[in-house]
Amino acid sequence: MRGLAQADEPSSSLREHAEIDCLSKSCAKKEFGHAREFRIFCYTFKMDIKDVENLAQLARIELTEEEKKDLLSDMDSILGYVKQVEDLKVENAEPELNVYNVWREDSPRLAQAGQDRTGEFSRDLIIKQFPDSQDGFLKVKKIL
Amino acid sequence: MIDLTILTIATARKKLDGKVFSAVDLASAYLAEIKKKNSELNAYLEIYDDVLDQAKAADGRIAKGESHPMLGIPLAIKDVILIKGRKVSAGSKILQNYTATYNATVIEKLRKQGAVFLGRTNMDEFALGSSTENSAYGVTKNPHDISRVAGGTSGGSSAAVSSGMALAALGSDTGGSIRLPSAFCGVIGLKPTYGGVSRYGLIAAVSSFDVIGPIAKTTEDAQIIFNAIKGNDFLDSTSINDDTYPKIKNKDKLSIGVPWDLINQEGIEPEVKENFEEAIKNLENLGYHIKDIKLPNCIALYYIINFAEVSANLARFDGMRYGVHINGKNLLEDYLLTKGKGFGKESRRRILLGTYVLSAGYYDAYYGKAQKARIALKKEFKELFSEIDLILTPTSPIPAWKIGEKSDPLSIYLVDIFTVTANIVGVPAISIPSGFAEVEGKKLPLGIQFMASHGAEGLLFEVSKKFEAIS
Repeated sequence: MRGLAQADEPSSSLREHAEIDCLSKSCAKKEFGHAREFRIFCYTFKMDIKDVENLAQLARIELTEEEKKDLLSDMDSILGYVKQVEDLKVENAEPELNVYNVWREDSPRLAQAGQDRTGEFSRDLIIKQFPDSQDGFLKVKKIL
Repeated sequence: MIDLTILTIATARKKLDGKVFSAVDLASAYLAEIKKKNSELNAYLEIYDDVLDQAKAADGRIAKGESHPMLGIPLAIKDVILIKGRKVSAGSKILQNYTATYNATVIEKLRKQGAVFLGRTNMDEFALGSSTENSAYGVTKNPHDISRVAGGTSGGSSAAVSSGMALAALGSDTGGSIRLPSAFCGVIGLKPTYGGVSRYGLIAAVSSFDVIGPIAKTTEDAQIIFNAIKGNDFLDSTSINDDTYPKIKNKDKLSIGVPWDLINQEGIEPEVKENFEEAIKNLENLGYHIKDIKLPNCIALYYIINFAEVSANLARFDGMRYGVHINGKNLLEDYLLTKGKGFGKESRRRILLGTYVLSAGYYDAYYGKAQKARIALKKEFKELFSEIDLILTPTSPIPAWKIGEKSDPLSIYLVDIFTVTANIVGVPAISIPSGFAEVEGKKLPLGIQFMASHGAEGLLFEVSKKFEAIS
């Protein structure tokens, strides 16, 4: 349980980077003289192995030491590249509001009704694939 | 003996209906071809044990006088589309024991018409890659040069069609996954308009980019499959209607925009450029008006959204309800071990990158910015398509590379430079064979890509058929 609680908190080093990042933005906005320096600092900072460990913990993925090192160097170069998104011009970028919710009854039978696919789901096939089950229910380890 | 090399869906339809050969004859011919070639190419991960039964059922329907475009047509299906009661692994170890509990809408539609499903084809794990080298079940080899990749992520489907192991196939396209392998293997691949084909029953990679589409030998065949699988679906809330986008009016002379500044930059192979210039000349001779346009490089924007959505979509694979489960001391350890061992390297990399770009301190700089840029790009495209009808680029900046040659993930991402844009904007795009590059004594296929405005697949088929006729 301790592990779970810790994992949900961003790591201290992630937080530090975030603060630097925010600082650079507010500086840039207010056009302070130091803004440029902060930005350059942000562009060139490197992740460290601790950041990879924290991200892996957040994503619930176990990594070996060697994998961490590999991922660190990959992520540095990939994030260095995708950063150029900051240079894209995005004026006039209000979303067109054509997004709407599509509702249906929360029932597999009704969900299929409009398509004449009633009773398509196989309960047996679903239960058969549970790694562990009891009386037709999914069985997992204690959560609390 | 049926000559599979020149057979198309259109000609097979006539011969099946005219009783020249039966669906069982046709399926048997493909099974024989698969037996000969698949162990070398690794295009299929599984050949279904009921292929001849499906074909027999199709023959029964033909005997009763039924005729549908896809009745008795043998297809390969990418290992990411659910067929009830069949294994579907998305090229991943974490789903090696997963059996689909329902049919994807595209499968349901094809099954109603009586199509015959031959088997499931290899792919990059969870459709993350550009070469099918990220599959947990080994790489798919290019039928034109087995030392090279087939492209990805639908590499198995493209290789199967190219090598005559299927008459046509279904793939899925997130950032070029239908078009790139089709170009590398010398076949036609269509990425439909986003929402044009139901994603219900497609294992999600990037939900705002994913779309299912056909891979075939001719434009007509791709069109036949597209017509069979398209249409609004109650079960996919992003599915579009026939009238979602305005109909394109017929014009006498179509104009094609070419983003030369993007094509002239470094990293584009000279053979690819030469071939592309040749294609433009041919299109001019066909009467198309060619115009210079500007398009931005969208790789950074694309991959930020890709990482973010992949990390969210792959979170569901935790070994709790289905798939591989690795037992640990407690619940947290179950998760850590299952995901650590179940996901391959590229999947883990993108999950971490997605977790990073979505984390509180970086959200605005990466994901937020990328979403704004995406809206701006959509507007840019709308304006562009008020001036031109089609956009033309090479499908890939380079021909198929040697297996294992590219070890740096970023260098593989960059290959998607021409294909990702259509997914970001949601417009349809098609890759058509445009000739060959001669590399180390082997002829490697090249492809060109057309994009059209939302819902304008008709324009793509039209230009593709004209181009096909002169190549």
